[in-house]
Amino acid sequence: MADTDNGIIAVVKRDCPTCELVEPVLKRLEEAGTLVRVYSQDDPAFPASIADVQDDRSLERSFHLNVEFVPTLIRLEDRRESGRVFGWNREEWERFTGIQGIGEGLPANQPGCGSKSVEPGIPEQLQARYGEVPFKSRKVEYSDWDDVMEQAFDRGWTDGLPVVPPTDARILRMLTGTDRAPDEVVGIMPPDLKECTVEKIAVNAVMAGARPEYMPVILAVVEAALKPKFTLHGVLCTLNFAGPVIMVNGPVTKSIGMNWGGNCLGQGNRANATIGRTLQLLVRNVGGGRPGEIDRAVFGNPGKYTYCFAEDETDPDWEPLHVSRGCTPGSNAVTLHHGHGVTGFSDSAARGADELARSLSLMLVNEMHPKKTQCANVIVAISPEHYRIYKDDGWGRKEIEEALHHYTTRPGKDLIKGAQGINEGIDPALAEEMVPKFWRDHGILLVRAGGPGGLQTAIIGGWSGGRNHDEIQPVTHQF
Amino acid sequence: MRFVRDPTSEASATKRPPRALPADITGKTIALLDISKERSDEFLDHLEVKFSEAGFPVKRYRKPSNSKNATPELIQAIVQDADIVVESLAD
Repeated sequence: MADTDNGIIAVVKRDCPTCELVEPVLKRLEEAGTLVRVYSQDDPAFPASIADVQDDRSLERSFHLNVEFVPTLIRLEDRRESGRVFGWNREEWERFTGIQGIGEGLPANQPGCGSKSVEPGIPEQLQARYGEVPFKSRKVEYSDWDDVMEQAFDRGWTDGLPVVPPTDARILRMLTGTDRAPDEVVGIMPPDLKECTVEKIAVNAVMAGARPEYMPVILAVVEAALKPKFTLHGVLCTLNFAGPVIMVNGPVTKSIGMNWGGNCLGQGNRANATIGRTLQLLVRNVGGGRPGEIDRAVFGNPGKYTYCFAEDETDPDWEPLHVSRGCTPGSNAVTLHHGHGVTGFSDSAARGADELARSLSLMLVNEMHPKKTQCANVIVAISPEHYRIYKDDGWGRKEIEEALHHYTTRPGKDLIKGAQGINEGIDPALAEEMVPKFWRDHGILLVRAGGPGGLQTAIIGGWSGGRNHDEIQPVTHQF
Repeated sequence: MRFVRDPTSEASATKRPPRALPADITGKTIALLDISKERSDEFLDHLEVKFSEAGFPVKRYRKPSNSKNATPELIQAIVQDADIVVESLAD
């Protein structure tokens, strides 16, 4: 039996033209006793002229040898690597093997191909199968006879929709989206107040269907949600309709393919859908916040599956939401609001900015209750067609916000308890005052979003917890 | 056998029985905890009158917001200064 602990081994694949090119060279090295073994990544019958070809379709040997290209020659001395070359270069191979005049008739140089073991999606699978993983989460075993999707439902891990099984390979792949260590604690997740690590976030991101490149946004969302001002505990357990709504700003929205255009509040975009869903799964799984238990929502809203969109920043004249809230222009940021479902505002007749603002204000004053004031915050998402009307009159963010606050400020006498024969209302002591509907600093979160073609604005009302102005606010987090 | 990773916090809840109600509340100090929810105070104002008329010492406490947990300091103050707590939920 050949001594395979000393000598040169080669790793090849049939799908590589350079590997096919160097087959005569490998044969010559074998005959010289220099080459002691060949590992074939895709076809154990290749190279046919070599006697000792080992089947490495499992890629286990390629993984342990850390092969990045084929062909690769590795010199072993007492099973330890003492050097390697890859691709084909006659001079280099002659120097490496100590045999002159090899590869006559071949080009002097030809690059190799990528090793099958480093093709997209494969390294993490090999790491999970043959390497070590740093995870601390408990292994939950299942047999070939079990339906892992059904088990996820049975264990209470899902939001009612199927989840992607969080295998080690998928978690490893998710973690390629961040440099942060898996055991880093990002924050304490309510309601159970448990440590939320990067690893747990990756596990739930896998289940939500996210891609690794979403991880920076997902981590920022979790950090924002866990800021005390956001009061995640309150919004997850409230009787109210609300759940977290995520708005994303910055270059990252384009680079990961988020939707700020048509149907941006609807279905169909993977980034929008899975970033929002990851937060909800973390609340459920890490925090322990489940409907019917501590989540006491009377109705909830469909956004409690997922509620995430990007802002349209394509008009350089528009000041994006995150910049208006103190972030650096051009930076990435997430803003979290405690939101209800979407209320549609459609005005196809307004021909000027002031008229449109007055028209929209008729809708805004009804948020939560027409006679309640400063009790909730609201997202106002302006479509391109409505934005055009404002812009044609020279209005930007400042002018629109000013007008909406102005036109939603009303006489207290119409809003106090008992006024209009309705007991609900504000403190009678405010009867002689003009009372604003929204908090001035963050009551109206104005964004641009939506697709062309409709003279529409989307209104996302907010949680009644917003009345506690000093305690509970939307949060913006730059990353 | 194949496996997935547990997405939860891997904590298990400890079930504890509620404390037994006091057999006799004579002379006990009553804490009234307002959680700051709408009309929570109306309910406690009414209770304060009733308890005071019945001769119970009454102390009032208030969470800054119904949406956040009571702070350890607030809980400790109630534990130290009162014997019975009435927490008002409201809307």
